[in-house]
Amino acid sequence: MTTDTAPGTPAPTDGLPTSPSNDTVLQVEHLVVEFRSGRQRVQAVTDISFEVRKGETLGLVGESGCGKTTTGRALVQVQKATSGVIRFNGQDLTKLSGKELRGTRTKMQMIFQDPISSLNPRRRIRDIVAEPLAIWGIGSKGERDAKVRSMLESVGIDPETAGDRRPQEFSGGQCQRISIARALMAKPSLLICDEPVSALDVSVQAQILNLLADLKEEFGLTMVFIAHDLAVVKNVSDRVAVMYLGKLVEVTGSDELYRSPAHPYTEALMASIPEPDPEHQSTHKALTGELPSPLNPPSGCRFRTRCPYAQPRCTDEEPLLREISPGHQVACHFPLVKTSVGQATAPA
Amino acid sequence: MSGRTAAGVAEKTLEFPDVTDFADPLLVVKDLHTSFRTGRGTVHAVDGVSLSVDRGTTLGVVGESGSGKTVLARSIMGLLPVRDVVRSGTVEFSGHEMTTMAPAQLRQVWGAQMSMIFQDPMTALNPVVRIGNQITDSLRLHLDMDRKEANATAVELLRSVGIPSPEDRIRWYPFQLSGGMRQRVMIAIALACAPRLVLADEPTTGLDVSVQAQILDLLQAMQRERHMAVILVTHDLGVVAKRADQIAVMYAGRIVEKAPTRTLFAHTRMPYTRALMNSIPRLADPSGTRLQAISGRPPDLIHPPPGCRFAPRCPYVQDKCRESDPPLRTAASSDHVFACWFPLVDGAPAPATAPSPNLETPPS
Repeated sequence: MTTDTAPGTPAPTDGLPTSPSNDTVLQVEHLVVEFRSGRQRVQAVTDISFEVRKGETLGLVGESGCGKTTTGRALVQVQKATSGVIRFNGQDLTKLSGKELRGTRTKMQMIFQDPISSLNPRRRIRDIVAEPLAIWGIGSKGERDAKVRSMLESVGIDPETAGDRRPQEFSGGQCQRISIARALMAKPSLLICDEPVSALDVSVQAQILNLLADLKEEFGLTMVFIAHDLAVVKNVSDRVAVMYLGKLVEVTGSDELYRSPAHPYTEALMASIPEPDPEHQSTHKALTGELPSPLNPPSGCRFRTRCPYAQPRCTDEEPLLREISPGHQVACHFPLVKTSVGQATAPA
Repeated sequence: MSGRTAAGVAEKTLEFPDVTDFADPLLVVKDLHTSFRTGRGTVHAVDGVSLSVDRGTTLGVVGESGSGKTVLARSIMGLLPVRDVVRSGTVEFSGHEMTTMAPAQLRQVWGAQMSMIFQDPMTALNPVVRIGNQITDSLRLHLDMDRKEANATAVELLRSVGIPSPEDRIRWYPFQLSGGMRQRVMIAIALACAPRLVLADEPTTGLDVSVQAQILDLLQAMQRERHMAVILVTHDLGVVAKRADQIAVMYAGRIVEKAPTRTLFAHTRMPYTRALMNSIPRLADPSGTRLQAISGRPPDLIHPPPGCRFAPRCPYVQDKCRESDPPLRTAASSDHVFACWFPLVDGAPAPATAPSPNLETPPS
């Protein structure tokens, strides 16, 4: 890995947040996750660092295979990190024993992409939602029942008619509501949402996104929201981290990301969003080709094989994540610059 | 397999002459009804749909899950279960009535004249047959090609849908391809015999937005090149906004609004169409903008509500809507129809109608 930067460019921050403040809930440093593929090793997540502050929603966006789900799974330690540090409320999760790790489970919860298969088809809704309380022995039976009822009401499911039914009797959107209710039963402070709406219709998607916004307010949640649709991620997130082939390529506030995307990949992701407007003309360059194999990632910048602005330097030297303006990090030798009309264009 | 050519079957061969007169629509569907008999009662999945598609154009069919859009596509094609299904109405395709065709005649149409791209390429492709053979099957059946010729055509088709090194890939199995690549193979199969009409049923649902854009662009390029008509079925108005010539919005088995695409977006009359547009998160909106979700769910198609079927979820519902069913009527331009008693004017409710508490977020 090359560490040199051209003279005159700001010093790389090495991907670390510049000043980890006291309100940091989750801090990830140099996270690497490797899988074995036959005799080879494939890095699904390659040295990423980011932080999530209390009460904020961090969006993690990228294509299938970019490592965003693996990152989410590593955050809750469902997937062991190969190296790196994951600090949750100051405690390094990667160093904890199984028993200690179990103690953190009530504080961090996850909801998954496929709402129907993440619920046990043979159990009643009432029991599925009560399970976290049963596991932790919280409250008496009566108290648990009352908690289940109020939580189902919070997510918009009628506890009287739904409690005794089973997951197959519900639509995808309703199952996602039930999954959310279950995740919130043990009062977590951090919620990891892995593509929670990508299996849903746009109309149901809007309902679930609004519900998550309401619950975040009601329960004071901090969230990591993983998805492939930048429009969805931007809507729910305070900050967005864009991932490509196991690496972070851009991290910034969501409105800043829309106003001035600095990485060509971010621009390409924006261009692929289907705008519901026949008059809309995207000025962004669209994405071509497929994600390269992570078994054999391209040298230098990993995006160069699909980048419309690639130069020889991009092949030779890997760009590091660096700050180009306060709170805006990008890993690109030639970041896009903002013009007066507010559209990003290539550097001269 | 090789001997079973289209001409070899007992039924008379259908004629599909090359048409030079593009004035006639390619497909005319009139008052199509499809219902399924189930243990709970009869489900009226498609309930009186009429539409027409001109040659070389794209019709977008948009609606939520359960609106009957997939059943509509399958009813047009004639791909319905044999048991417990009642279909009525007419489907006239290139001068031939599809609803009364014998199975052998349908086989002359399927693949050759009219083909379908299914939502899930993993289950639509045969997992134990090499992708090359899945393409050459229809070439050899309909176009009477020999093995060598069909193989060469399959390689060209795979190349044209953007599959790298197609000479090697024709020997691959579906599981060796990514979701986007599989959908490209599906498109290659659907286009193999140069059909006049392609029904694409949610061809990009389940794919990443970046792959979705690539697949839709590909479909559009192939359509222009071959002058095909396309019926693009989707739940996302964003997908059809720039790709369809006209859009039909379906709700509870019926078309509730149909217009040329620009008219539909600029002069939306039906509140449901507007609600579908508003539920899509827009990149240009500031982060944290509350989405205008449509409350509730589509109605039960066994016992649809009386009156307007959208009334229970409509933000502008009035007493009349709950009592009588609004017919499809013509808007300012004759090619724009909608079914609503109190249509929107310039995207907003008519002045006399105040919003009811049904609305989750009041329109600004």
